[in-house]
Amino acid sequence: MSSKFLGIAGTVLLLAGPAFAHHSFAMFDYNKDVTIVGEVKELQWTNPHIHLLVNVPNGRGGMVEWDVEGGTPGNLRRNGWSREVVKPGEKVSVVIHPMKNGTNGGMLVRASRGDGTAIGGNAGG
Amino acid sequence: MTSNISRLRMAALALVVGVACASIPADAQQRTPASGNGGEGNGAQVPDFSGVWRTINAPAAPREGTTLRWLPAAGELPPLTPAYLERYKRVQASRETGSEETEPVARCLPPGMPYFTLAQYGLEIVQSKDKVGFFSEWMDAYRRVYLDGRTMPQDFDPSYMGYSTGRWEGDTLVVETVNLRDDTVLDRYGSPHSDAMRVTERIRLTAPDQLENAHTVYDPKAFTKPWEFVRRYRRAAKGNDELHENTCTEGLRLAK
Repeated sequence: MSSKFLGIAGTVLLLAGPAFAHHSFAMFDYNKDVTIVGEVKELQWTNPHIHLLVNVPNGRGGMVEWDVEGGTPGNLRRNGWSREVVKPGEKVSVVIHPMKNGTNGGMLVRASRGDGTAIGGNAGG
Repeated sequence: MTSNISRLRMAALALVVGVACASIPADAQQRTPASGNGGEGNGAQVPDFSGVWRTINAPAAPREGTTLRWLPAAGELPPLTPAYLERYKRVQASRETGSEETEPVARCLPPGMPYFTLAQYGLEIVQSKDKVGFFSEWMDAYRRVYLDGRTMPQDFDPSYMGYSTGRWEGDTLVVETVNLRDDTVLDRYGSPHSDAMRVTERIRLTAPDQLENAHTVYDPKAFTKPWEFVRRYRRAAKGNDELHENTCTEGLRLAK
């Protein structure tokens, strides 16, 4: 099932892409990549950082909400994002650095649509 | 859901390039800014830095002693004394747990210097004969540098950005910043400093659309020697030369 949560742990990610916002974010585990697949609940296009809320099937017939924190609206705009780049209900796949504390959230690394096309330019965070 | 506190994270990138070794031919653009703006240093024509600039990235590399990686996470540790290195290690230990308690910017406090210029964000410079303003897209933070020969008034309150005065040495604007608060951090890693810190910047055009800012950070209490690094910028392209708001306190609105 493609809509299952897929945990891909242990991938060391070193990003050397263009300047986009990142966090002082000690709360995220930069040593892990996790991919979540679900439906967009809401894109909060806010400063200082955007939040992409994604409903992800929990494997037991229900949904759990994941909070994906991205960069600044300004930097994301320059990377091909906008406040309407995704719509509620749209299927997305999002790669994140997960929360260290195990809660359902993480830092945006990159995202794609249901058909596999990338959202925004290269890494979307 | 991520905790509400996460909404207050501030974005930044510490880009510490290390010691300057630039030998770029200085064919810096010389022009007299229009309508009386821009400067004349000692009666001579001086470069005009006005405009929007974007930082030039350095390769990513993790800093030794931490798993935290910023983007691009280059960075040499400032030359901290043993006592301040211990403080630095306590900061890293706190951050490894996921805590943001050591990051004032995460609480929407201004970054201060030199964190301001280490950020990987757009920078707008507005230059006149008597003053240069540096506006960062990060945190909507602002610095002003007086060029009119003034000195800091007595008993001026220490501040996040400090008190900055500048002078022209040929094509180079030399900025001295003093009176900085001691409760800011130096960089993305939360490196500490003391109340004795001061910063010298040497800013010049290395090409018509390239800007270089060579920093020397002095802190006789916290450093074993001056800390040097260079930031480089390219002029923003037309159509991509606007800065956006980055109002940290909007995140406070979201916090409940």
